Amino acid sequence: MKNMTNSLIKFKDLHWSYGENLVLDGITSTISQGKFTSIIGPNGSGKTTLLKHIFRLLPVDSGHVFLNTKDINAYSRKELAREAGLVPQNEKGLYLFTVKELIKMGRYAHTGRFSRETKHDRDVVTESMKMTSTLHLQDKIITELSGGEFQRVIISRALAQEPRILALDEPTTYLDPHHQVEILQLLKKLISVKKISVICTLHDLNSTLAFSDRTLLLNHGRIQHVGSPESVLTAEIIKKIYNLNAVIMKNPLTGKSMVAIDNTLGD
Amino acid sequence: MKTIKSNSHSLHIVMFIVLSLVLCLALLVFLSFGTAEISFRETIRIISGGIFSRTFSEDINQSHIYILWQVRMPRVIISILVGMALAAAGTVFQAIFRNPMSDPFILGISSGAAFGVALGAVTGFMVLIPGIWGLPISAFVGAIIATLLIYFLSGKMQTSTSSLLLSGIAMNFFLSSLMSMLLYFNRDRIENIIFWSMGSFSSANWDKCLIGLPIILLGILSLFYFRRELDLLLIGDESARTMGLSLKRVRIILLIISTLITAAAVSISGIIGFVGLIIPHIIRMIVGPKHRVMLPYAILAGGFFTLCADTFARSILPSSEIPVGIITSLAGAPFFIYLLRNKRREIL
Repeated sequence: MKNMTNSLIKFKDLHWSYGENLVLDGITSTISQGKFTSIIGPNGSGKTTLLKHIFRLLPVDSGHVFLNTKDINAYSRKELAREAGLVPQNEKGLYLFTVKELIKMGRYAHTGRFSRETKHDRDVVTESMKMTSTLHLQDKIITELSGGEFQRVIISRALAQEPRILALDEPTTYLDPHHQVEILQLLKKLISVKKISVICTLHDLNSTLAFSDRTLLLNHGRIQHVGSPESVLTAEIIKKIYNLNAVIMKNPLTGKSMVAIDNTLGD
Repeated sequence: MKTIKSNSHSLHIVMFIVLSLVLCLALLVFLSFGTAEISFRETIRIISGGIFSRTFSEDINQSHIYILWQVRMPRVIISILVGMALAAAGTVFQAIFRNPMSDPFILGISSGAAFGVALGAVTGFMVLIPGIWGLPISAFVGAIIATLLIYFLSGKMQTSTSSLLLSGIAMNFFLSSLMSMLLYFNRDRIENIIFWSMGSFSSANWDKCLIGLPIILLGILSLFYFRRELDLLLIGDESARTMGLSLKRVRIILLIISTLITAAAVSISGIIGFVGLIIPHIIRMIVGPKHRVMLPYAILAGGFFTLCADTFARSILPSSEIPVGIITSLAGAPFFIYLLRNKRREIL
C-alpha cells in the first residue's frame, strides 16, 4: 500500500469568517487515517464549520485544505463524494423517498448519466443497509422513521458512496442514550471492518473519552489541544475551556476514563 | 401513507402506456363536445378520414370538417401541451426551490412571461423577429427576468416557504401594476393585452401548436436527462453537494429549461394558474418523489387536467365560454389553502 503516509486530511492555516465574525482563526492540523477522530469544543467554537471545509461547502478565506496531499479545490464534486461522505446535523428528511431510494442516491457519484445500475451498485447498497441494520426498513418512507432510524439511514447513504472518510456532525445530539451508544458502536465497527476513517464532532465528553482515538479541542476558532482524548480532556482543560469543575475517574464498567462534572458553574 | 413500490419498473411502463391511451381516448371524446353539435360517430369519421385517407365522404358537413380540424383539434392539442408544460415546470420549480408550494403562476413567472408578450406586442419588439417566434421570445425574456428576480429576492438557497411565497406575491403585484400601466397607455389594444393575463385556449390554432410543440416537448425531454439531479435537489443543498451534485450549474440549467417551458406555455395560452402546483403534489403522493417515475405521470396528468378543464370551460355554458384559467384557479386556490394549513407544505 502506497498511501500509508497516515495523513489523510491536512488543514493549513485555515481562516474563515462569517460576516465580521471570525469563525476559524488559523487552523493547522492533520487528521490521520483509519481512526476515530473527534472534534469537540463549546458551541460556536467552529466544529461544524471545520467539518464543512472538508467538503468544500464553504469558500476558504485563506489557507488550504488537503485531502490525500492534494488540494481540495483540485477535486470535482463527484471525486470528492467518492472520497468522503457526510452525515449532516441539519438534514430534516422532509421528502417521501423510501429508505432504499434514498440510500441508492449515494451511488450518484459512481454512476454515469446513461449507465444502468450494476450488480456492484446493488451490492454496495445492500451491504450499507446491512452494516447499519436498516435492511428491514428499506421500503419504509423516510417521514415514517424515528430519529435513530433516520440517523442510521443517513449513515447508510453516506456508506453507499464507498467513501474512505466518513464525517458526522453531532450524530448523537438528539438521540437517547441507547441510540447514542448504538451509533458510536456502529462507527467503531466501520473503522475496524471497512477501514473507514471517522471524523465526528461531539458534545458529550464521556462519549469522546469512550470512543475516540484522537481528539481535537476547538475554542474560538483555534485548535487549543490535540491528542488522545485522555490527554485533551483533563480537569484543568475542562475548567479552562468549558468553565466547569470536573473530575476524571475510571469508569467502573469499561475501565476507561470518564468525566464527572460538578453541577455548579466554574467560577 | 403508502406509495407504489418503485422497484416495480415494468408495472410503471404498463401503467404509463394505459394512461396514455386513456388520454388519447379522452381527446377523441372531448373533440365531439362544443357549441356546434357533432356526434361522436361523425367526429371519428372526420378525424380518421383526415388522418388516413385525406378525403371525406360526400355526406359529411363541410363546416364540421373545418370546426374539427381547424378549431377543435389545435385547441385540444394545445390544452394538453400547456398542461404538460405547466406540470413539468411546477415539478422542476418545486425541486429547484426545494419547496412544495412553488408553481410558475404563484412565483410570478407566468406573469413575467405574459408581461413580456404584452410589452413586446405594444412596443413592436415582436415585429422585429421574423415569423412566429417573436411571441415565445418576448415571453421568455419576460419570464427569465421574473425567474432571476425571484431567485435573488428569496435568498438564493434553502428558501423557506414564507420568503418564497412573499417574493412571489411581490412579483405578481409588481407585474400586475406594470400590466395596468401598459393597459392604461394602450387602451385601444386592451383586448389583445388582456388575453395574456387571463388564460384561455379559445384562440388556439395550428401556428400556436407549431410554437408550443417543439419547445415544450424538447424542454420536457431534456428534464429526463436531469432526473437524478432533480432527486438530489429534494434532499437539500449541502447534502446534495456532498453526494456529488454540482449544485450551482445544475440549478441554473434547470431554471432556464423550466422557465423556457413556462414561457412557451404562456405565449400560446396566457396565464393558467395552479396546474403546476396541484399536479406534481398529487402525483408525488401516489408514486413517490423519484423523478424518473413521477415526471412521466405528472406530465400525463397535467395534460389530462387542462384538457378536462378546457372542455368544461367551453361546453358548460350554452352560448359562450369561461376562460380556462378561471376553472383551474377555482380548483387550485382551495388546494393551495389546504397545503398552507397542512404539515405537508414542507414535504416533497
